[in-house]
Amino acid sequence: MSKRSPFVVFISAFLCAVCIVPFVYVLVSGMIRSGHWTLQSYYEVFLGKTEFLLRFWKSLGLSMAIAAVQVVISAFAGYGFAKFRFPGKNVLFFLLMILMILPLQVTLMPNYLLFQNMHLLGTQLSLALPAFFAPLGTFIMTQSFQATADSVIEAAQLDGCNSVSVLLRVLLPNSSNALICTALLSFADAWNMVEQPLTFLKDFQDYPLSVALASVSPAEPTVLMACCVLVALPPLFLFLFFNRELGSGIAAGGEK
Amino acid sequence: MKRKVLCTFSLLAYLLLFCTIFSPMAQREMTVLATVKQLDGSVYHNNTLSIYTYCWGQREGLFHIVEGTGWNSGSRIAEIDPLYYTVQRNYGEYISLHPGTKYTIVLSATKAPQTGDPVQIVETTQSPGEKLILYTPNGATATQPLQNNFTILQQGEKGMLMDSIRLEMPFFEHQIQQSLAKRFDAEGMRLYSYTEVESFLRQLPMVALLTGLLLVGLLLWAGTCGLTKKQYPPALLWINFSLTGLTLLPILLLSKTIDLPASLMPQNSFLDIGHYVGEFRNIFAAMDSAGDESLFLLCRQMLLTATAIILAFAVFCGLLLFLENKWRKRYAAKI
Repeated sequence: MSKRSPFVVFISAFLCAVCIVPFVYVLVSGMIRSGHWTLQSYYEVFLGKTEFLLRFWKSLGLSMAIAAVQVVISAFAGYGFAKFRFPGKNVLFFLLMILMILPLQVTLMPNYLLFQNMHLLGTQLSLALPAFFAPLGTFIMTQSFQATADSVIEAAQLDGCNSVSVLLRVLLPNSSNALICTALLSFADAWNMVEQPLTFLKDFQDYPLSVALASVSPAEPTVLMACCVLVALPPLFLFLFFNRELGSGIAAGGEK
Repeated sequence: MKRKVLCTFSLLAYLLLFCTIFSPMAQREMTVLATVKQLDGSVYHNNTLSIYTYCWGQREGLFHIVEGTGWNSGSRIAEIDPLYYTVQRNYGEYISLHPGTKYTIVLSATKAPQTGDPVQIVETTQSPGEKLILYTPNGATATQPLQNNFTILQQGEKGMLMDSIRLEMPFFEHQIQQSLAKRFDAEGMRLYSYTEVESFLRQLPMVALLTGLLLVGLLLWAGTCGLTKKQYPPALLWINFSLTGLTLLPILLLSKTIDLPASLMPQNSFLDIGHYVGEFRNIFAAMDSAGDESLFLLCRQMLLTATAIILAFAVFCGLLLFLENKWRKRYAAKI
């Protein structure tokens, strides 16, 4: 193994510090109020007021629901694109890719008008429905399923598997990394969404935690810092737990 | 790595769930109970207030009720800008609102109001035969006869026990203190309701039970972490995990039954142990000086009960750990 140069070590340490220092700043800032150390802000967020934690669980439930449904829809859609032939498949996949690279703001207004006509404005469904059908997950699953040889599927079909059984028993177990990657990216997207709640929801009480903090800060700035620690917990857990699978899934998606 | 992450974050999840259950109780206990009056500065007969609504112990100010928005939604207390009222001390003591102002004024509150405090408007009830504990750290000199509804039962150098024919409940210390301040020259005087102190002490075992349940939950979590090693069957892990979660259910039920008196709550934090220690130090000093041991005996009895509960939980947890450890060794030896 070659020896690392001090310059590389220095640059790596600097980049690590740039990434870690904001977390440490947020953690420590929540403990300083009016110039002295106190846990009052953390007390207010975790014990003193119910609003922060209730909104946290509500946002967590919404994000988990979006991730779960998107995984299911992406798996089926990816299976269709990867292993079936149908008229217009290439056009549809091309449109999917276009949709994937379109900025979110382009679809905000059409979605707003659609939800207005469907009387879904101001409800959590207006956040969830577009997220269920987000294209990135379908793209990742398509690439991952394409890596599975057709001969494996034919062998499963000879053993009596129907299409759904092939998906559940052959393709998904082989593409677990891609599945986890889809779930994680979908969760992260849902957890961090800002524009959609601001556009589709009317009442502050309906906002998820990320938007509620951004739109109306608590009276005391240090309470905001303590809330940031709360907001960081779920993505931190998912990243640490599925670290390996996330890397493999992104690599598998990028292979094509 | 995965095991350590799962163990750490399962503890965080358990603590977050505990905080979610506990925080409504803390918020409920810290809510100020207040009586209010609608005042209109433009109406001649409805624009003055007693000076009592202006003095809150060491602070002065006039407060009103507002509907909060955003994170501070619900009824909140806010201080009125002194520009909108006048404090008269020369020809009688009263406060008058300026014309064009309209407020829901806080007349009395269970603790000194602060801007932003959550508030619940209450109607007072007359409670007959209430006792008051008066703590006078520097002694008390009577300057005027007591009002007819107050009688001194026992008196000492640092405190006295008084009986009241009728007392408005909930207990508003500042309101009664200002009335008694005219009858006594007592620097640093503090007032407590005997009934509310008794009620607080009687709930100590419930608080101990809540603490014990939390300890059991944490211990079960520690046991669950030990079972995440691959050599143990997953079913056992899930049983232990479920038991950990189940400890939250009695905590939820307990948190709904605990109801501590608002007059004894700290100003800022429900967990301000220093405040409780200070208040009870005053109370017991006053009772000891007045020669009454009833509250002290009750406190001792409740503390013993609370300690017994905590010890029982500790023994239960120790037994659980011992049995789990024994079972683990036997299972490891088998495989």
